[in-house]
Amino acid sequence: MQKTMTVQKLLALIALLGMLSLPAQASTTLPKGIIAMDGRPAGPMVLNDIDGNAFDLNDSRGKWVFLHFWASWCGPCIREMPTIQAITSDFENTDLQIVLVNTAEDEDTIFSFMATVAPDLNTLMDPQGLTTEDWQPRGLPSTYFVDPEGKLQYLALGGRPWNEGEYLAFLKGLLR
Amino acid sequence: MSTFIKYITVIATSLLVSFSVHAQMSELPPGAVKFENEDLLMIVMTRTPEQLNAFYTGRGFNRTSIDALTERCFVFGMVENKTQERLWLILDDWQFIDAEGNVIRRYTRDDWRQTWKDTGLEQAKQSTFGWTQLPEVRDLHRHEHVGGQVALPWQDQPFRLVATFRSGIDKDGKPHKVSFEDLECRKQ
Repeated sequence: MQKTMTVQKLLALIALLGMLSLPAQASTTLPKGIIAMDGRPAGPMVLNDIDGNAFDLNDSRGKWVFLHFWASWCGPCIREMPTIQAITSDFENTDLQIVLVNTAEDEDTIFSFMATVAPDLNTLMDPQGLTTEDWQPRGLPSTYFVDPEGKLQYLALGGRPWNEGEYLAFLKGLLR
Repeated sequence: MSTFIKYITVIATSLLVSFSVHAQMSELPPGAVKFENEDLLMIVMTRTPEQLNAFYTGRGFNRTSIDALTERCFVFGMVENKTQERLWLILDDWQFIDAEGNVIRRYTRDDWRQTWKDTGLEQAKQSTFGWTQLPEVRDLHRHEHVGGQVALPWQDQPFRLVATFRSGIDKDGKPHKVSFEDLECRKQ
């Protein structure tokens, strides 16, 4: 009898552990097109935005950084940019910082693009394209996720609809 | 549709994965040919000098650089990995073959660096140009796609492209091979 009870307790414990493990497993399931990186330290990123303000990625320690490379001539960038604008209010005053990096275009091009496609967003400017080349994104657009310790944790392949369910949930999941 | 299908041939040997081919002309721009099976999707088309001129002039390229571009033949390629494993785009595994059966040497990034030095193209424009070209090497994840151009010396005769893709993280999986016949450098 006592042996039967022990087996029952053991089975109950296994079932409980199984249930507990479900959320952890779900949280590691990445949305389509997002891949885990190896956690190597992010490279330097020191650029000015379109208002002339300096940005240094090192100053973002303690926050997740959504680091997005784009260009106005890139079709998927044009489709993706409004979805980034759509999520900015969700992450205002949170520990997720959205940072855009334009690749190798002049101010006039960037201004006219942003005014038309995403008027609420600012962007860093990489006027010679050299910082982008140092980062070697897998084409444009590309989005890196830099963790609060300055390490590269995820990469979004190509353009993603950031304002849609699984992607928004992924972003919010970073803050838990 | 048959016009497009005739351009696409499939090479299936004992070493290679066999393909099922179909083309969907209605979705493609003029001059584009498409191959798709359960493992990969590939679209190839050549650019006209007018298309190149419009795009790069719009990006602020100087006239000498535009001339250097438009005298060459640009092949645009798009590849999507539909396999469950890594698929490797390695440009050295692509062969462009002319009407006499000779391999056509493509222009490399080093060639372009020298060209831009000669034409005085600014660094920013060189960077933009680089992002419009296919990468030399890319390990495509499942569902990842890559698009861009490869430049060849101008060809007056039709040529073919035989593209081989290795698979697996260590490139030791089944190779996939696709051949596009009768590609042409289009004047317009």
